[in-house]
Amino acid sequence: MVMPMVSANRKQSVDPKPGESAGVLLRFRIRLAHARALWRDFTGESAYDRYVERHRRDHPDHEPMSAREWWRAKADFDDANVQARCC
Amino acid sequence: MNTQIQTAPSRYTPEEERLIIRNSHGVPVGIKPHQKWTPRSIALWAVITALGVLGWWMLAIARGERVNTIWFIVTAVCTYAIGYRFYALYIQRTIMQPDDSNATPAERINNGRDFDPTHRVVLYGHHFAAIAGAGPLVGPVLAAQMGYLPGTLWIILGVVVAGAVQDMLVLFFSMRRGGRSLGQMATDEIGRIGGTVATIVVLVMLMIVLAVLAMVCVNALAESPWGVFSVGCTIPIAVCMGLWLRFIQPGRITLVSIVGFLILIGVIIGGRWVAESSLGEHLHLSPTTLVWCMIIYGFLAAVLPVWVLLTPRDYLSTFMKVGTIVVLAAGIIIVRPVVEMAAVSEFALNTEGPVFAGKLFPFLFITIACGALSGMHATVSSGTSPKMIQKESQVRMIGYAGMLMESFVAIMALAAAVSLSPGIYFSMNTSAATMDSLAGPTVVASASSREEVATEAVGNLGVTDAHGESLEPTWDSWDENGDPKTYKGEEALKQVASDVGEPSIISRTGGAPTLSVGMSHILHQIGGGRTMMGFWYHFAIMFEALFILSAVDAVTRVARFQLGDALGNVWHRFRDPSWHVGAWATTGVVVAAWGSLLLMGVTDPRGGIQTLYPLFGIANQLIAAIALLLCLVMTVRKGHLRYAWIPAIPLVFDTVVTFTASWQKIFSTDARVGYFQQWRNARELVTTLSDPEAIAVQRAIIRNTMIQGTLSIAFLVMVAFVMVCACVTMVKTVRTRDTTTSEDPYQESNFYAPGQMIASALEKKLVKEYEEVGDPALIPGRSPARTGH
Repeated sequence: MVMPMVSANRKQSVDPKPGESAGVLLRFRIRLAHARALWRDFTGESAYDRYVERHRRDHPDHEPMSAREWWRAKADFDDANVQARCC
Repeated sequence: MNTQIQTAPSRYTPEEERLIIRNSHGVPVGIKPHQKWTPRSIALWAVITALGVLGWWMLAIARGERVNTIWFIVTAVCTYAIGYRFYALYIQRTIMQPDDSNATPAERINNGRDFDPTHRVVLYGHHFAAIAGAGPLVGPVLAAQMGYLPGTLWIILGVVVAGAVQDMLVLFFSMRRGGRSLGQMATDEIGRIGGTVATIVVLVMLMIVLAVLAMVCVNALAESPWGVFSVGCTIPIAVCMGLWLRFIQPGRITLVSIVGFLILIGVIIGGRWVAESSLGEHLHLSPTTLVWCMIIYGFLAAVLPVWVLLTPRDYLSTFMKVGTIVVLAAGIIIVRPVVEMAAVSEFALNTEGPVFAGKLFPFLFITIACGALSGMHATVSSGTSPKMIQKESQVRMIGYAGMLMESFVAIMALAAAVSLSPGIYFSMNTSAATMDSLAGPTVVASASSREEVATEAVGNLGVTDAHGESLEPTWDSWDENGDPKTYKGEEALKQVASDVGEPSIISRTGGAPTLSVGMSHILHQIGGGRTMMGFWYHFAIMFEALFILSAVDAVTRVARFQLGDALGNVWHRFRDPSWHVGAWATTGVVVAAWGSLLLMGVTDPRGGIQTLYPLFGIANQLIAAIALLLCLVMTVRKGHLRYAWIPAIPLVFDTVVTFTASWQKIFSTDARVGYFQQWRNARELVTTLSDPEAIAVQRAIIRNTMIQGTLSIAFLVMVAFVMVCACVTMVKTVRTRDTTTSEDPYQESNFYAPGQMIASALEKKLVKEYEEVGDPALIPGRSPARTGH
């Protein structure tokens, strides 16, 4: 199993090291980043970034689609996969 | 991997380590069911129970003349908490028995598209946004004619034992079957014939649901230039957002949505000015014109690529959905209005109610569908949500708690409606024809305005308000000099209309305008006073219209694909989505189906809501019966005969309700209730008439009641047929003890995520460990949260 390098690198920039005093401001910033990530997931805004991340990991031999191409492909997919809405 | 874990053993206490479920690689994938009662948790649940009991006491027993609506909120929240913590957990441990060492379809297939393990909080939001619409807002308002108590009891208790159970079980069973749809599961479980009939019934019922929702929207916008302008503007705004996202800044959803939302608010504010200008005259549309607009809109939204209209409009409606619900909850908590409606009105026991006809049993339970039990939710619970769920143990949180939230919305709508003066409530919700007969021909002939007729009519209703007095419209507002003044009677009705910026509020049936007046009545007290009343009213109209439009276009599109698939069995080309002729033809059929029902309802001489709404409720609750029946079959086939009562209780209740309601609609000799009695009466009457206009009215009644009655019979027969098929399957299963399952085979999970909305200390530790040892394909690279769409 491969170690998750991306995740580990990223985490260091947000989380304080053990023993280091976590200031109120820092903790607030972590919370804010978390909320923002959830929001971006909720609206679907983060979908392209996640595609790129996944593509780099699974197919490192070729470039991912550009944002424009990818969003168009997604719109084509959504054309046939509509979520039902309720009353 | 094992060695890695052993190098850091200090993370867990031995007790915790025993609870952790690890897969064959030693990766943590779940926590074993456990519960530990501490003095603190016992005290907490004792307080919640006490508050809940106090709430029920205040609403149901103490009552009194001044019941505060805050008790609706307290009672609902406490009862939901108890239902979620105890009943839902009981169902989880007995029937569902989620196994977190088993991979969910999202983890197994994980294609980055529809199968996508989604963070539980995000999925909760998606699931809620998909199930909640105008239904929970409209039903409780209409049911308020029976008083506040019957509706409150049904919404809160119904969701705990029926609605949320259905949503959760369907979600769970579908998740175990790769996210298969309700129709596919019916075919798998009760055979091809039963399954096909079930699929057809659901599809036809969806058309009725759409027609009635669209009618609510049409009734809210008819003769309202301000409403037509602001809701109409959502279309160009959405198209601009779509173009922006397509060609200028792909992916900037939040930015574009905020800009769209702000323009929308501007449009609502500017609407008054437009309505009062010379342009307003052209926006004064008749119901029939609006029906055609709706039909054209539905057709275009379903055939155009989604990026043009559907997707961006969905962003707008989600923004409005979240925003309005928060605003309404805050309004009720801050303003805490007093209930003006009696606890139980006379209309609970007779069939004379002007809003809809029929006694409390069974008609309350079909009028309030969404919010207590809604069959349509089964289509979402067996649609996108099961394909996105990360862990099996999250089903309770998504399915059960998602429905609790919808029920909460229904309770707030009820609170807003019953805090209005009942005189205003009935003036708005009585159709023009009923109002004329209530007021009597002499008053109608001599009255100088509809407001005068309405005041007379509600006085003759024969019901009393919370203070035991007969009804008189009452409205607190301000006079021309800006001094507070309480208007009474005719004056009050005129003042409401002028405050909210409408030409008139008389006979604005459908529930949406009433809720909007109720919301504006509450919200103007915290924001803006009198000048903002019109804004809040049209803000509420706007969000209800957006809910309905997003249901109309999405369901039309879904139904079009289903129809195409079905026709594809005969003629293969219909399955090809790029074949335009096929797409237009199937869309045309779908739009014609609900469009003709809509046209029939809107032009109905007796008021479309009164005649068509029961059919909508019955259809929705019959879908629920099919969904609950499937849950029962799957529970039995899973070998849990002992716990079959859990889906059986709501199923039996729902079956009795829907079958009694259908029976009365078909066979009742009370002309207010029975479709065919109305038909017979109209046929007799038409031979005695000579006035061509009156003959046309009776002809319309003859035609409409025949269609509605025939539909009722067809539904009843088809659902009964599906039920017989299901019973045969269950008897076979019990006899042969054959518990061969249609569940997907077990596949070891390699993923961990907490099961509850707020992660426990142990769950947080596991998340940390998983981030170190887990599969990178399932770990978010950029945030502590995993994933979205």
